[in-house]
Amino acid sequence: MRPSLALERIAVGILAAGSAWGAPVTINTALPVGGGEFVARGMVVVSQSGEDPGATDRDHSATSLVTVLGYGVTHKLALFGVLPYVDKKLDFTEAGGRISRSASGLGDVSVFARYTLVQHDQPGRTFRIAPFAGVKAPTGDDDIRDIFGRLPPSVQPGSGAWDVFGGIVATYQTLALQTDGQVSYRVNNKANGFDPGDELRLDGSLQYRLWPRQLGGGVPSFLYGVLETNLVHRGRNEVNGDDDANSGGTTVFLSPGLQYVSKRWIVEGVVQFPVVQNLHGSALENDYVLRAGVRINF
Amino acid sequence: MKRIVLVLIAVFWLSMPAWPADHEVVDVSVTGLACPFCAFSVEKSLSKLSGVDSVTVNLAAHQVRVIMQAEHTADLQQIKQAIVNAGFTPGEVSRSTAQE
Repeated sequence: MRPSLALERIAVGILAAGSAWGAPVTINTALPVGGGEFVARGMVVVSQSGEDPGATDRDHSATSLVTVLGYGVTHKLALFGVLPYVDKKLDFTEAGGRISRSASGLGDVSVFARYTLVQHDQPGRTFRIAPFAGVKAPTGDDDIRDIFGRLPPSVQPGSGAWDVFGGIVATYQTLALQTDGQVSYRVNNKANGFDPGDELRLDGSLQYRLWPRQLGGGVPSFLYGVLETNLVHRGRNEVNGDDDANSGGTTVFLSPGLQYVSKRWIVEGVVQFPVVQNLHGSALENDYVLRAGVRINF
Repeated sequence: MKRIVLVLIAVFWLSMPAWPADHEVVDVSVTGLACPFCAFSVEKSLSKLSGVDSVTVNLAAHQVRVIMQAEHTADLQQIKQAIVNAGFTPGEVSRSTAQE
């Protein structure tokens, strides 16, 4: 009865939430937060998973409202806090009847730091590399129950465990386009007898300025076309010390979208389509992930 | 006598301080700046400096113009540091004066 936890973690996209510039939608960026400056981001993430190969006909949906606050300690070191509010639902068939289990509430808070290791600036372009590392605290409720008992981990707002994650992101930005690449790894720890598999991600993003075609004076707003790709490999879960054969695997998303960037704010949206889903056993496949949000420079 | 009067007039004009309505203008080339959101960070950082009247960014020209308040002199090191603090790299600087 347990869809892969990777699906909802993909949906929340903690690392993605850390970026708060004209930047990729689903991943981080190496662009700076000014020293002493704040940036904020709000994002809605809707994830839908169905296509259950098993007889239980599982259907899992998750909606997350993710709030991010970034602060530039210096022009090279930035700190980020991420707070999700999640609403999850799992429907399945059992003993001939349809059962629905759901929960909502504040999820697990993440904090992470990012440091600009390489900064190579030229007129109208920049290349930067920035490693990052952080921790996810078990602030969300992980013991919600309904009439059937304790909800499965995939429906709980929190995981109950402290997790750590880290990676490195590279960004090349010109006035016409921006590309980003990211490698990251997340160690998911055990709680309540459940140990989610670790997660390796390889991400890439291309943003191309669609409008204005020619730049005039001042600071015009940009409309970018966005195309991103995310390879997510997840290890098998362990339940009470035993491998769950129906969990983990590899998913590749292709994510087209649009992003409007002005001086003070950004509006953006992408849809993540799973183009490859090589999952173990009867792990639940993802139908799509929708992301839309705003970023504010204040 | 006429020569003395002319000399006195010349001395008077030469000894006059700058007009209060004059504003110092500093143009700085900035590298690494390639998006509107980033441009605002530079504007914010420079606007916080003492004596700065206005800041305008020209993305395509890779230039930032800082106009000082009347009777304030620009501190070029502070201006450059503010650009660094915003996460970008200052380049060539030129100074001029504009009248209100």
